[in-house]
Amino acid sequence: MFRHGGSTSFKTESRLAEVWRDLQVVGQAATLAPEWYPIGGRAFLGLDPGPRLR
Amino acid sequence: MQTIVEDRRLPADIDAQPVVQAAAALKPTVRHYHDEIEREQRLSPELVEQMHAAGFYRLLLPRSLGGLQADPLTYIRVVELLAEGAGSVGWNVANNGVGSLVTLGLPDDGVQEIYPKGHRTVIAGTAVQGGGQAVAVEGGYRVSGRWTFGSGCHEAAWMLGSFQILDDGQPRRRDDGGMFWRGLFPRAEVEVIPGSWEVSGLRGTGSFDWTVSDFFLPERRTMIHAGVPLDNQWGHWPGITYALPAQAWVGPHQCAVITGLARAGINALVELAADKTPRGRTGRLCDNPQVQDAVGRADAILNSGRIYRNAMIAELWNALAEGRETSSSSAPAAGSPQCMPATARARRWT
Repeated sequence: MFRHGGSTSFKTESRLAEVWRDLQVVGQAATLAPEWYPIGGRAFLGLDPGPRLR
Repeated sequence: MQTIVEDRRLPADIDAQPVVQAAAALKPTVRHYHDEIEREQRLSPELVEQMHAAGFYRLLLPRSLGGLQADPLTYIRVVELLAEGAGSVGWNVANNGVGSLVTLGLPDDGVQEIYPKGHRTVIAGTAVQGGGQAVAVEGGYRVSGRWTFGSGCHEAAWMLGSFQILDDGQPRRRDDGGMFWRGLFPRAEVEVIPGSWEVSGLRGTGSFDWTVSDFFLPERRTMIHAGVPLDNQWGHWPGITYALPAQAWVGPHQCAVITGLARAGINALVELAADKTPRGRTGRLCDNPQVQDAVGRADAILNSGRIYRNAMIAELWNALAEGRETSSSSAPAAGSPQCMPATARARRWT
């Protein structure tokens, strides 16, 4: 979306810029990290998923 | 007062829930305040007042404490809609929800102090381990610490912090191996550190560092800090809402901010594409096949993630409603946390 917005996207006041900035910050949250995939995978495989899912 | 009647079944139409409709109706108001929120790095008091009236700050509290006792899908949808209006608003409501669940693990007299009759309690702070150190004294602890990410500290009544207890300078270890405790500090008595939230996004959350120094924390406002980052310590409250594992809340709450923002991004491009003719081109943005493809893919990816997330949570709910196991070895419990990165992938398309 950001790319297709062209030069509008990087103007500080644009809605696309606002959303992009906020998304990058939320996406850094540990609860959303890709490391949850192997944790879930270990549970599905019958292995100890570790303390985060125990 | 708005109430949600908790059934053993999830609502058939989440968007028809009054509190969800209130969130949808408030979106233009959230947009109205957006610039002020970003500039002032806090939610504007007028907006917070309307959010109190809508019940957003007591979504997850039991009805016996004046709450709406919402199911997770209703809560997530409220967060999602508010994040569509402004990411910071969705984030703070999401964190208040998890924070309020945590407080339900306090001793009864602590809960009554935090949520007196007619309360307008907002919880801020952080649910993860560490930040403070304490020494046991008669009736409680003397605590000093500095915590990061105090999202919502400006509208909060109470700050949630985690700490270790030192005995002869050494961290106390419980029989369960845990080394952390939690405490609730009155917002009026903590110091928020100016300039500690200089960031590129979510500025309006006001996620400043905050400190206390040699603060007396009574036992009634403390509890053990179980789990990594946290376990369900509120399961003694009646209702399926409180029986769900922590993974049904922690993770989905921030995931809902992502999916709300992702929807806002798609909508922003759709709106722009109707009018914009890029430099050097003759057609509008919406006439470009690549843009059409991107919008179509983004919508599909976003909604597939949302549906996966919500289906995993619904499975957990239904398992409990039917008296089935929801341990970590069960598919729903494993699927629930991994639905977060799956939905978070939607951000790459935005």
